[in-house]
Amino acid sequence: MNASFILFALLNTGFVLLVSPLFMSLIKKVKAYAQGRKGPRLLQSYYDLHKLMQKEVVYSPNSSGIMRIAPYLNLSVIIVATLFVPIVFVPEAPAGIGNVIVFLYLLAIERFFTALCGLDAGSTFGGMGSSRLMSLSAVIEPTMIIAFAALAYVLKTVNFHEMFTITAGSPIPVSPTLALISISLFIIIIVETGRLPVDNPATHLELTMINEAMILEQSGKNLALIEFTHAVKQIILMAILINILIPWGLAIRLTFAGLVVSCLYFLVKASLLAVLIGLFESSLAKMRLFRLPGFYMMAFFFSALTILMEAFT
Amino acid sequence: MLFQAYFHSSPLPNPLLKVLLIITLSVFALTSALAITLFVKLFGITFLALTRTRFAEKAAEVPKLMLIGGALPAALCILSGLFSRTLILLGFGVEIPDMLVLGLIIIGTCGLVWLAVRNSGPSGGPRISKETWGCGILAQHPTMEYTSAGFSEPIVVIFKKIYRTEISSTRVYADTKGSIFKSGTASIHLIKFFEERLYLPVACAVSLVSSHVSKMQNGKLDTYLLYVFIAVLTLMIFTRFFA
Repeated sequence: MNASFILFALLNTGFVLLVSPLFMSLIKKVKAYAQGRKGPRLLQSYYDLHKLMQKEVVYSPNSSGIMRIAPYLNLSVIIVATLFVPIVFVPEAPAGIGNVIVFLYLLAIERFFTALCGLDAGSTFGGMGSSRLMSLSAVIEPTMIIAFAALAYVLKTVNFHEMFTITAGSPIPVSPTLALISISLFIIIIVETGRLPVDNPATHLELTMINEAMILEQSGKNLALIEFTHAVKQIILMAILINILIPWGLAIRLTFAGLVVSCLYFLVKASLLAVLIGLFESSLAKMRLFRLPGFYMMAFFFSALTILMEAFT
Repeated sequence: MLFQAYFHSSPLPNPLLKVLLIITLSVFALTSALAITLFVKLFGITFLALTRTRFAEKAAEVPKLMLIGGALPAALCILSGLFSRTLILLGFGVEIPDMLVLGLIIIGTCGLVWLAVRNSGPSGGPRISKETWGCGILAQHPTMEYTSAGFSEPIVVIFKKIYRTEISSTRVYADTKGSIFKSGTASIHLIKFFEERLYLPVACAVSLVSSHVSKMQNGKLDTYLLYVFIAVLTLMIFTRFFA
């Protein structure tokens, strides 16, 4: 592990942790404007997290150690996943850091413990959320694997760091097929962050709940950690799409100017993507639960199409 | 490693092989995702929250020696995962992620997160324990929890094309107009797709062929002489015309 990587780990993780709640508020703001409301302030997510951090944690007497360790473990796993997705600059990473398959399994670990948390308190809502999340994740997993396999096919590597080094120098996507994969990646962001039409993060109705149902028994600091994990996960998924589709600005060498430019460009691009996600959410209604596999199939189709095009050319 | 092999398949020359690999890759991913779901169900329903049956309520931990039996392979699994890179490099020259470094980074991050959270907000405040929220019903009952069948119900519905469920019911009414229900039966039958459509046809075909073969093997000497005669005759004809 070299000094460049340690510096990258500190800067990249620090930057992601700092800006991730901002985009949660931004999406809420866009949705509010689309509905003719004023919406929360841009810093509201930070205030909410601060407020929750000041509160006590309330546990159900039926809950076990899972409820106590899962929020910490989930945030840690997602923070480690941020090392896989360079945002500030692309470092020389040790073997395994940046591997697409390991990244997918880190996301799976987070999902696994969130689902166990849902079952831990024994509430009907928690069980319902866990059951729905795991069933839908069983369907989205092949789509995710195929989308990332398509990326590996096009860019001829399984490492995000190498992928971004290839794409970073180009002002436009290095291959037109990357535009097709981007559609799949966009759908994956929507699914993984539990947004409309998959799940509605703004309600607590049992008809729409998936993610919210599982965290219903969480409170105080633990809830803050879960919300924060959600925000960080959203930003790293957004970063993958941004660095593949509109890669310009990402520094591939460590310089002060490069770092500042990377961060500023990322903030602009991520804000545009957040606005797009907000508008996308506002334009759609919640889909019926069993119609969702069809929505996932769209992402699967675009990724499989990319691989087919690459295979026959 | 399997996934890595799939991901590296782009230099293969045969496009049809690549397409086949994509299909198997997605099926493989589905299998791994279903395995994770199964573990959530298995662990969550068996060990978490309130006990669901009277028998589970009286369950006691087995002696420590019995626990070692399960703990040993589990520990070996974890160790072989953490040291997978070293183990693989002993036999093959395949580059795989270093899970030991990754594991250490995760543990280190966990420690940092714990420290950061501990030092923020109310320090060492009592953690109040309240009952699970139950829509106004105060005393929680095991029947309010999700069951194992309920947990996997969405999967059964999503994959109903494969796991086709057959729901049948018969009703007997006390009156002639069919309004007073007297008795009835209802059953849910799950068609075992792989068993009934994949394994059983093959098994039936094999048993059909073997039943014909067993008829031929009737244990009579003259029948075997006839077989030898037919074989020799066939061989003679073949060598006369084709050799």
